[in-house]
Amino acid sequence: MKKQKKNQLPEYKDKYAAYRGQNAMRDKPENLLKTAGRLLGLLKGRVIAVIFTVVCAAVSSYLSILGPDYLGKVIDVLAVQIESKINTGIMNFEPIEEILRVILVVYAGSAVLSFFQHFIMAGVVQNLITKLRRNLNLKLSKLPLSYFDTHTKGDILSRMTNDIDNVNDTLQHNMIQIITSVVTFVGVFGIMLRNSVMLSLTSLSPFPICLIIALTILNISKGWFRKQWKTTGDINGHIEEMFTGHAIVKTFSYEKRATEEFDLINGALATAAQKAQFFSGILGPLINFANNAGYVVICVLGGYLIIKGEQSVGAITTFMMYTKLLMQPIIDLSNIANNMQSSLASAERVFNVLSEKEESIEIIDKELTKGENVSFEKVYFSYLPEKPLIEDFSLNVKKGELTAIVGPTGAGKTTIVNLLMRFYDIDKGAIKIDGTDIRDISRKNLRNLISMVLQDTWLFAGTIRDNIMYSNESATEEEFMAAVKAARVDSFVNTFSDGFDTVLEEDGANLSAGQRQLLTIARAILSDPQILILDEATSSVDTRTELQIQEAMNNLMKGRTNFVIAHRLSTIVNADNIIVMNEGKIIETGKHKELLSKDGFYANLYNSQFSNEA
Amino acid sequence: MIRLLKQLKEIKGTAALSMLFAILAQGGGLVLPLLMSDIINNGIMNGDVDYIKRMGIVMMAISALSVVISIFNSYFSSRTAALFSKNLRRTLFLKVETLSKGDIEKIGTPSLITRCTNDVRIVQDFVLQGLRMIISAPIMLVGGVIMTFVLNPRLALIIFALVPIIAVIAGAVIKTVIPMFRKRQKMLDGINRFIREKLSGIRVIRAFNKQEFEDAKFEDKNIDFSALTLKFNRIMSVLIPVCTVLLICGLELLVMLSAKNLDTLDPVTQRTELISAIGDLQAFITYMLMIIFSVVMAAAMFVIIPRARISALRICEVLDLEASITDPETAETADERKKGTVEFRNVSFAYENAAAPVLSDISFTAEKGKVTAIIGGTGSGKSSLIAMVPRFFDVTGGQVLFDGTDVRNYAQEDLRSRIGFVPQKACLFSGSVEDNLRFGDENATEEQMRKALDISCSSEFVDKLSDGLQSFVSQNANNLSGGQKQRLSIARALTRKAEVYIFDDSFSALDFATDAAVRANIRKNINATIIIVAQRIGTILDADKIVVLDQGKTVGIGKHEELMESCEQYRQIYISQMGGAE
Repeated sequence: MKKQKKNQLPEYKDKYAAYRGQNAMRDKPENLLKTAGRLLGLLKGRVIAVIFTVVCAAVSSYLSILGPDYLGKVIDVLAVQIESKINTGIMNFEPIEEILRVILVVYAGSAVLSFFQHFIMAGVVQNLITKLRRNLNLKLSKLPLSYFDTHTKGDILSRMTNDIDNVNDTLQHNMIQIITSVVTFVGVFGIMLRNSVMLSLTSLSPFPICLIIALTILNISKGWFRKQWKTTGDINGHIEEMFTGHAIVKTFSYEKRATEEFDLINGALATAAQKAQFFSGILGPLINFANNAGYVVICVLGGYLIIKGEQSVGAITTFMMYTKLLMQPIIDLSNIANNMQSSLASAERVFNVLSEKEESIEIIDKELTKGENVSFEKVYFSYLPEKPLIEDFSLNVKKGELTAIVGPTGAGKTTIVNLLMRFYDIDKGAIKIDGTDIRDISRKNLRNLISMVLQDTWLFAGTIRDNIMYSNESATEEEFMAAVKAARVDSFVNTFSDGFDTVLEEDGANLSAGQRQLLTIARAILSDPQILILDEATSSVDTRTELQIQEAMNNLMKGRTNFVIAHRLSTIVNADNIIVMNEGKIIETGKHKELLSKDGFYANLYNSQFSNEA
Repeated sequence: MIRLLKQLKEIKGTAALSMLFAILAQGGGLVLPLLMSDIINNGIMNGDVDYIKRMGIVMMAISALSVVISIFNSYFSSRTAALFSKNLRRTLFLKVETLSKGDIEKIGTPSLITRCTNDVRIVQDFVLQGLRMIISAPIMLVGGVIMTFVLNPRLALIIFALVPIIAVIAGAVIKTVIPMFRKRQKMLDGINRFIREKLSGIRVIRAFNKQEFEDAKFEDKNIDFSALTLKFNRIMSVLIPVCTVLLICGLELLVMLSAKNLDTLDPVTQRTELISAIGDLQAFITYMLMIIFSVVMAAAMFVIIPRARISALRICEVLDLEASITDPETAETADERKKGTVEFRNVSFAYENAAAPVLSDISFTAEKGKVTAIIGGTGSGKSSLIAMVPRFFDVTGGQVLFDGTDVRNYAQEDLRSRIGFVPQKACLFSGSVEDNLRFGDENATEEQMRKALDISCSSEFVDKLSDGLQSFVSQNANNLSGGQKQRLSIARALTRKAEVYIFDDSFSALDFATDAAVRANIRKNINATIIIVAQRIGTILDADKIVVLDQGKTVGIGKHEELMESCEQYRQIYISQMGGAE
C-alpha cells in the first residue's frame, strides 16, 4: 500500500519546461557561495553598522564567556566566607557584594550590548530586504514581455512574497548568531593558542570530521531546499491560476482534477520540505557526536600527558573547559549554515530573476515630440525563430489619417501594435516615426507619443476616477469630465451610489465587459496622444453605445495618427486606408469602396456579417 | 490556533513519536555535560586514564544513542510538520473550491493565495520549532524549578516572585506585537495584489509609461512593510536582555539572602549545614542558569507564537467561510423529457449591498434544441442573467428551471456537467491545447477534440502550431491572439457533450467570417439547446428566439422579424449596426 502510494507520486511535470527550453530560460542553480556574495553585496552602505554590530557581538560574547566564570567565583568567595564563619564566626559581606556587583555589570553589559546588536542588526537586515524587494520589483519593470509569457504569475509572486520573506526570517534570526559564533570561536581559540599551541591544534582534530559531515549534509540538504522553494513557487502558481480561473474551474467541474494536480505538487513540496528539514535537523546532533568523540580522545590523551608528567593537571583541566566552549559555536555555525541554505535557495530564486536579460538597451539619439508619420519598412518578426509571423510588412500612416487593420484572427494584427509599442523588437526592417527609427529613441519617449486601448481591458483595484486618470494624473476636472462624457462612462457611473469614487474590485470585476472597455476608452481620451491605437477597443460595447461614442472617437482621432483594429464596420468604413492582413502579410489595401469592388478577401470578410450562413 | 493543531490528529502517530524523541533527546542533552565534568573531575584531576577510558566509552555510547534519538526526532518532527502543512494546504484549497465568486471576493484572491502558501508556511514553522524546541524549553524550565524547590523551597520562592514580572513584560511585548503581525500579513496581501495586478497589466503600464509611477507606489508599500517588520523585530529585541538581567538580579538577591541567612547560623552547632550550603548553592546556581537559559529560549519562541497565531487565524477565517451556493440535501435530477430546456421564471437578481437590482422579473424559456439569443445594451444584465444557469450566482427572486427542475435543487456538479459554458473573457490555463480541451471532458477522445476544434474553426491554427494538440498554451494564453483564445475557449466547451451550450458574448474577438462560420458549424453539428449572448446583431439574426434586455428588464421577445415590428430598442440596435445597409 505504502509502496503504491510512492509510485503514485511521480515527479510532476513543469508545464513550462519544454516551452522555456526553446527560449533557453530556466532558473539555473548557481553557486550558493556566489549567491551569498550577492546577498552580502546588498549590505553595501551599511558597513559601519555591521562593524558596530560585530564589535558589540565581540564584547558581548566575551562578557557572556566571563559570566559563568564569575558566577563560579561567587561560590569561591562564599566558600571563603563560610570557612571564615566556621573558623572565626565572622562573615564579611564586602567581597561577596563586590563580586556580585561585577557580575551585575558583566551581565547587564552583555544584555545592553546584545540589545544594541539586535536593534542595529534588525535595521541592517530590513534595509537589505527592502533593497532586495525593490530590486526585484524594478527588474519586473524592465524584463521583456516574453519573460512573462513563460512564467506563471503565481511563481513570480511567490518569489516576491514567500522567498523574500524566507530570506528575511532566516537572516533576521541568523545574522547575529553568525557573528556571535564566529567571535566566540575565534576568541576561545585565541585563548587556547596562548596556553598551548600543540593542544589547541589537537582540539581542532574533530574539526575536519565535522567539516566533512557538515559539507556532506549541506550538499544533500541544498538540493532539497532548492526543491522546496521551487515547488513553493509552483504550488503558488497553480493556486493562483486556479483561483483566478475559479469560474471556469467550477463550470467544467474541474475541481477534482485541479485538486489532483494540486496534490501532486503539494506532495512534492511536502517531501522536499520534510527532507530539507530532516537533514537540517540531524546536522547538529552529528556534529555534536563528532565533537564528543573528539572530546573523549583529547581527554584520554590529556590523561596520558599528565601521567607522563608533560602537562599539569590544571593546564589540562582548563584546556578541557575551553574545548567544551569551542564546541558550541561549531554546532551553532553548522546549524546556521543549514538555515542559511534555505535562505540562499530562496535568494537564488530572486537573483535568478535579477539576472534575466532585460529589454534591449536603449540608444537614445533623439527625442520626438510629434508623431506625424508612422512607417513600417519591410518589417520581419517572429516570436519563435522557427515560425515567422510578420513578413515583409510595409505601411505608411500620416497625421490625421485613420488606418484600419483587418483580417482573420491570428493574422498578426495585434502583433503589429506590439511592435510599434516596442513590446517586442523587430527582427529585420525598420519602424520609423517621422523618419526616426523607433529604436533610436527611448521607449519612454516612444510610448509617450502613443496611446492605446486594448482588447483585454486592464483596470486596477481603486476608484473609477483613479483608473481613468491613470493616463494623465494632471488632468483638470473639466478635462476629466469631458473625457468621461465622450466615452459615455458617466451614464452608468452615475447610477452607482459612490459615482466616480466607486471602488473597483481587482480587474474591475464588478463591471460588465462593455463598461470596462468604456473606462479604458475614457482613459485613452484623457491622455491626448500623438498616435492613437484602438485594438478591438469596443468589441464588448453594445452597438448603440458605440454609435454614441463614435462622434467622440472621430473627434479624438482628428489631428492624430490613428490605427484601428476592428471587426465591426462602423469604425472601418470611413477609414482612409484599410490594410487587409492574412498570415502576417498584407494582402489588400485601399478604401472601403475600392476593396469592395475588388471583390476579394475583404469583400468576402465584409459580406460575411450579413449572411446568415457562411 | 488550537483548532488548527487539531489537524495534527490525522497524523498523531508521527506527532507523538516526534514529541517522545524530543523529550528523550532533551534527556541526552542534560546527561552529557554531567559526564564531561565527571571525566575532568574524577579522571583528569586524578590522572586516571582507565577511568577516562571507561567513562569515555560510556559517554560515547550515550552520545551515539543521543544521535540516534536526535535523528529520529528530526525525522518525525520534519515529517509531522510537512504532513501537517500539506494537509492544511489541501484543506484550504478544497475549501476555496467550494466557494462561490461572491464568497471569494470577501477575502480577495491575492489574500487567499498568501493564506494558502505564506501563512501555512508560518504555521508549519511553528509546528516544527514547537516539536523540536518549545517542548524542551518548558521541560528545562519545570525541571529547573522543581530542582530548586527540592533544594531550598524558600530560595525557590524568589524565582517565583520573578515569574509574574517576566510574564507581565512578555505579555506586554506580545500585546504590542500581535496587531503588528496581523497588519504585516495584510500588507503582504497588498504586495501580492500589487504585483499580481502589475503582471496582468504589464502592457498597459508600459504603454502609458507608468513604470516609474508603479514603482513609486510599490516603494511605498515596500518601505511600510519593512518599517513594520523592523519595528516588531526591535521590540522583540528588548525581551531577552530584560529577562536575562531580571533573572540575574534575582540570582544576586538569592546569593545575598542565603549569605545573610548563613550568617545567622551558629558556626559550632550548625557546622554541617554551613559546609553543605556551599554545594547546595552551587547546584542552585547551576539550575538557575538552566532556568535563565530556558526562559531566554522561551522568549525566542515568543517571536514565533504570535506570528503563527495570526496566520492560523487568517487560515481559520477562510475555513470558516460558508459557501453561499451549496448543494441541496437531497439532489433532484433532470426530467429527461425536457432535456435541455432552460426556463427563466420571474427572475430577479441584485448584488449584495447594491441598491438597484440588476435584473427584475425576467421570464422566458430557451427551448430544447433551439437557439435563444439575448441582446441588449452595455450593462443591461445579460451576463448576470446567464450566470444564474450554472449557479455562479443564485437568483434573489423567481426561479431558473433546468429541465423542469429548479437549478438550486441539483447537485452543482450534476447541473454543470449538463452545460457547456463559454465565458466572455476567454480564460485558458497553462498546459497543452489538449489539456485545455480536456477541461471540458476529462475522457474526451481525440476524435471528440478534433471535432470541437473543427466546429470552432480552431483546427486551422492549432494544426499550424509546432506541436498540434500538444502545443503549449501559457497562462491566460498570452501566446495566442485574442480570437484564437476565444475559439479555443469555444472548443473547450464543445468538447463536452452538453444539453445546453451558453455563449456569453464569446464571438466578440472573431472576425465576421469566422464568427459566421463557427455559428454555422454549431448549427450544423450540435443538436442541443443554445443560448447566445451577443452584441452583434449578425450573430443572432437567425436565432429561434431573441430576448431583448434593457436595464435589467425584458423589452421584447420574439424572432427577428417580429422584433423589428414590435420592439423599438431592437430596431435601434439593428439600425446602429446595419445602418440600413442590407
